[in-house]
Amino acid sequence: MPEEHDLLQRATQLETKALTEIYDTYSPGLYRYAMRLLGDATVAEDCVAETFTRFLDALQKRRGPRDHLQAYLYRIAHNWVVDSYRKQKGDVELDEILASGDHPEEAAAKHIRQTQLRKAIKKLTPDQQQVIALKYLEGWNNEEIAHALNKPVGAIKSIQHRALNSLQRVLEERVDHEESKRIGNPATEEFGRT
Amino acid sequence: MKNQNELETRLQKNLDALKEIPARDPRIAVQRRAQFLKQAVSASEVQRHKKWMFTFRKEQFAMNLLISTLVVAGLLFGGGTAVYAAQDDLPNEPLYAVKMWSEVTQLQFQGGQQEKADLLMAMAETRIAEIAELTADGQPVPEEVQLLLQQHIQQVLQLCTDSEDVTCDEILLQIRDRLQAQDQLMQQLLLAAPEESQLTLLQTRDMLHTQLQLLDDGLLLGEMNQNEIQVQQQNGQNEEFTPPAQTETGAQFNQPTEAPGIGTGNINGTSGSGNSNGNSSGGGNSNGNGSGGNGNKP
Repeated sequence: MPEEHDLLQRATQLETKALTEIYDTYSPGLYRYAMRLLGDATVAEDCVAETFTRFLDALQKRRGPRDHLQAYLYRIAHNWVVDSYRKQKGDVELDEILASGDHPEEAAAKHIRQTQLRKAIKKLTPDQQQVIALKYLEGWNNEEIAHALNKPVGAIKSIQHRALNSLQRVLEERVDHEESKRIGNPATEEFGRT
Repeated sequence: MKNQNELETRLQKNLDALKEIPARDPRIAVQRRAQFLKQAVSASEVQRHKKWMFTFRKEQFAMNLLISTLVVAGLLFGGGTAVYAAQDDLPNEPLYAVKMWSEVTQLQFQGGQQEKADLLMAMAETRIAEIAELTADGQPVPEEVQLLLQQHIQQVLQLCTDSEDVTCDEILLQIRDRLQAQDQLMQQLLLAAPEESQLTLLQTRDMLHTQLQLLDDGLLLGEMNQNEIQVQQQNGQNEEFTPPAQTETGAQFNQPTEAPGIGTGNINGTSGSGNSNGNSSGGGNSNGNGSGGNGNKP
């Protein structure tokens, strides 16, 4: 990507215009990514801000990326997400669920589904989390994911395979657990069983 | 593999639930963007400042180098100019100290005995010239010039006294010639000098006379020593030292010759018997003032 390379070159010189362009290009995607994994708008905004601050800091210390800028930024963001998982507060406030505009019942069901998925993803290893998030939430191909994780494509495929199995197992365990607590809850039926 | 694909399809469907996220708050997005831009501008300014400082340091280094070069050049050429300008200065003029310093420095860098002797005599002649110039201008001659002149002459005589060099006698002869020339110059100055300078000039002339006498005595004793060795060689008496023959006046040539300021009067540290031109009658003296003719004085 010659455009990205040129942009990165200018960013290395801490050219304000180039930095602004990078922010405008990647900030929405990073927000989406953080939001999907974290489920909290404020925390997701913090993630985006911290990602760009770290990027800027690396540029100033001459340790910034030389290529694959997008992969680099998502790697920083994911590291931040993993850190935030450890200190994440409880579930999202009811106001936030209702603010989605959906019918309260639908909104609640969606929220439960999303929470369960996020909890299941959190049970995976950081690499597995990132592969699942980038491949199935962001739609990246294996090569792009390989750049983000600094691993070969073969390793990504292997991580992906293990991640899917782990995720399935975690979701089944969770369904069993939920079923034992709330028999007949329609939200849990969607995960299904093999 | 089929099971894996089914699993992937099923999980993909489940994970799609996470794709639905509420729209980003544009107000917060703008705020966060502004915050980042602020950081970016700050970083950019720091970078520019660093670049500027680097350039400044480079320029400062170049400037320091230039200034150092100019200072060194100034010292070399300006200092050289000052030393050159000082060469004509008299004792009562500001650059006289520079002139003295340059002479002493020059003397320290002279390696050979002949070169040192030449330079010391040149310095002595410079002092005489200064005395002559001050006298001609009707100015008093500072005592320090007189002392310096005496010091130069004593230094050059000491130079040969301390040396075992066989060519030293030749140097002493040259010195004697130059001292005699200075003595003549002092005589001429005395004739033309104003009354207030007469005493200084007389003292200077007496000092020159004394030094000349010392020199003559030293040369005489050196010649006597050479003659003695020749006689010993001729008589085959090299193994045992024989007391030298007495002169007509009864004084022995190897008897210490006392002269003012030089102790034994033996310039080259040897005792002698007889003189170089074979005239033993007028050679050694017994009273130590060297007043007797020795036949080798022009």
